[in-house]
Amino acid sequence: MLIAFGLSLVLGSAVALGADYPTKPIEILVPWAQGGTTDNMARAFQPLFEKAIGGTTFLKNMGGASGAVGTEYVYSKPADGYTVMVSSYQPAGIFQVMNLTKLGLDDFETIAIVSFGVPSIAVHKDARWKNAQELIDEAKKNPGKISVGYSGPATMGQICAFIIEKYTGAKFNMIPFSGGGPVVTATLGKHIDANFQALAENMDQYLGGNFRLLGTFSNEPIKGLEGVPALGQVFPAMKPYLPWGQWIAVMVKKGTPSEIVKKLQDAARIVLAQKEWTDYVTSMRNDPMALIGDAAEKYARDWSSFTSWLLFEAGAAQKSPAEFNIPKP
Amino acid sequence: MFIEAIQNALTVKSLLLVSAGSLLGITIGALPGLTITMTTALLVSLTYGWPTWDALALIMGAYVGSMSGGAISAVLLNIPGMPSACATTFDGYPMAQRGEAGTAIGMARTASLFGSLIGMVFLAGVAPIVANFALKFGPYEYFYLILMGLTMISSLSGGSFIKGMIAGLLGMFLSIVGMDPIWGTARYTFGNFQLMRGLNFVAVLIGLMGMSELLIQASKKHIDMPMVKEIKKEVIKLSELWRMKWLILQSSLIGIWIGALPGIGQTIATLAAYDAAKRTVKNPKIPFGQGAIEGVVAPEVADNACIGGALIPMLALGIPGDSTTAILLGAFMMHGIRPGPLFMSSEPSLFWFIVIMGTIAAIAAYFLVRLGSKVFPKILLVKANLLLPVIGILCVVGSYATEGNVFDIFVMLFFGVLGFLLRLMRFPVSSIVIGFVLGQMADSELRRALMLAQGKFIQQSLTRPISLILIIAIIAQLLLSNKRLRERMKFATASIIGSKKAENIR
Repeated sequence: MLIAFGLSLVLGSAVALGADYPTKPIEILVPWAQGGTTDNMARAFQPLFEKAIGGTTFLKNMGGASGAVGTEYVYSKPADGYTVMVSSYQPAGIFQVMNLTKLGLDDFETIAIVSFGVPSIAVHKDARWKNAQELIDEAKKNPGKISVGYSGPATMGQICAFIIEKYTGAKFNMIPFSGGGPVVTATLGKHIDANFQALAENMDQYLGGNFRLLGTFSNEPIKGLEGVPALGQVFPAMKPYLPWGQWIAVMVKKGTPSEIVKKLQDAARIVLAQKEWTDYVTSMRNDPMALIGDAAEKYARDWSSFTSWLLFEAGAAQKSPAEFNIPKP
Repeated sequence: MFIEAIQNALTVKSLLLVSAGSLLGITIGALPGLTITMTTALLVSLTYGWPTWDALALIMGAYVGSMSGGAISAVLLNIPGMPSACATTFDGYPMAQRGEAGTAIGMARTASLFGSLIGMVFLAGVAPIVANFALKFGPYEYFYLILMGLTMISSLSGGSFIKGMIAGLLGMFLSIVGMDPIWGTARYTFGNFQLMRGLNFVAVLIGLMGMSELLIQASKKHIDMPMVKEIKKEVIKLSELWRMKWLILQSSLIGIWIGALPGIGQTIATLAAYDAAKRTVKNPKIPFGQGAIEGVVAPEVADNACIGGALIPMLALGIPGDSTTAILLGAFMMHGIRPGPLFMSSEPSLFWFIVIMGTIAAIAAYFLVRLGSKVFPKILLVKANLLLPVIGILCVVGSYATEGNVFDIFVMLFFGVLGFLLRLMRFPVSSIVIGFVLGQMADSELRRALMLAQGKFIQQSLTRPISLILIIAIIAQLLLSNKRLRERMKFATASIIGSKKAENIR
């Protein structure tokens, strides 16, 4: 009798939770500091999402340890849909293999994947390499002599270098910096030979005539950049793994009631279809994406298994993806 | 284009927006923990739909205003409202304790105005030259520059050199706690993921300065009395300012230069300007550290000159000079403006608009702080047993507000107690701050340089012209700061000349 009463109370509250959600303000947590790509995207997403979900939202930044601190914070909150994380790709196995936190895709529900940023190979305009083939041939002939800057442990530029090293046999001297800005600055000052940062970061220097772009990590040339070859066409061995890049996702803690998850998915679907959103993403030189629910989950899982095993095999990861049941690609 | 900028700048709307931004900036600057980076990010989303001119007027106002606000809480409560105001506490707070809070804030406000204006002149006049020179600084140059900064520990340590070094090394050690920026290895985190992100600099500063001062005041006997007996009238003499003309120029150049070097930051600029002031001002009326007016002017000038400096690489090359300009870059893109190397030639009217707005914001900040300058010092007449709890709350809220993380409150409390104990034992807290700001940077830059050098670090250091100059400067500085050696040199030169003064020196 008591158990039945208790059960009905739990069920009752669960139904109530889902039915009139949201009844209080939703916290949108960005596990990165203000001003980065993830933060910019979240700030554009928030007002549109607020309208779509029909409640109030507020945005909070909690940076540190490549996003691990904010991710832990979201996980420490109840799974009631009132703490929504707008995160970059790190929860997809990167935290785990880099030994930053134990949290991975099994701990979160991927509501939607909202944008994608493609990396590029950039060199200074005075550099002697005219195309990607020349750069990589030299990196094969003199292994470890060409210096490549990247923006810190397990970031996009480093993973891109591993992709190139794995499929072409080249070897670079990898120099970590404290962010994308410093990498671009060091390339501009000719302190490093090349970088594999996001196209968004290299674009202004390319348009200003200071950088030469040798390729993008895609299979087709990027729209508006037809002169820059797609690496999938230059190196056919890389083709199955491209386009590879940085994506931004909306996530909630695993165990959030399915009705709330559905409401969040519907709201995300409305936002991602809006022209205001796609225009913004394009203006930040990213590609709009609109993967919802299962499609988003599958994308994240595939990406996770490719990238975490790549990091592990390159010797950059501290833990094996097998420890976290991340399947081999 | 210049005309178009003027036309857009001198409208009632622009002037109102820049003043409103300035007022907001001063408030944010004066409140510990609320940073201008965070404010700029909020303003960028707030002004998303606005016309570009209006958005820029508001943001520039806040950016410039915040630098003037930081000094207020630094002088009154020993809590740097902005991290960059920490050097202002060294002499500003002792001045306030003597009842000269009005003069200290007044001087800070005037110094801020000069700093901003000189910074804007450099931005308008020589931005491309400075930006291209700044690009010549790679990991080697940064490392030696930071090493030079670390020599400040010895000159700022005041009484005991050994105690200064101990405090400096403690600061350097504490700065490397967290995720190693090179390989991502956890250092001294004891498995705590909150420590993975490192110790929050703002919380450390509020603890070391504000909280430790609170504990010192609270441990005094007469807690029901105001901390300051009387408030003297604000005295700002033009002759005094004229006397400090070279100091103002020197501090501006330091501020512009360090501001223009991406990634170094305003806090270091202000500390360096303070240090330079201490070396160059031979006979201050009141010794540095005990309430010298020069010790307030130098960091405040540098702080504001940094704005012009940080805007130089952003506008001339499209690379951010600090975290605030990084957000400004994002704001540009939102408004469909291409930052980058072509910005100054493709958007000259926008460039001039920013320069003009920076100038107007500096003037607005001057008058806005002046409006409040009669009121601010009166806070100190409140009885200590009423004021101290308020300071305590400010410390707690401030350390939480920077990143919205409760853990930072405990960091602040820990450093409050640490600072209190160290100050009781007469260790210089400023040395910990310098060690903390520079330690991590020195570590990363050295390792980056070593990775680039591939075994040829020494050759590279000695053959790169700027790094060689920096090495020579460091050695010269160390030799000159050795008192005995300096006296011997004087003696030697004197005996060569054959003057009788040699005996006097001996």
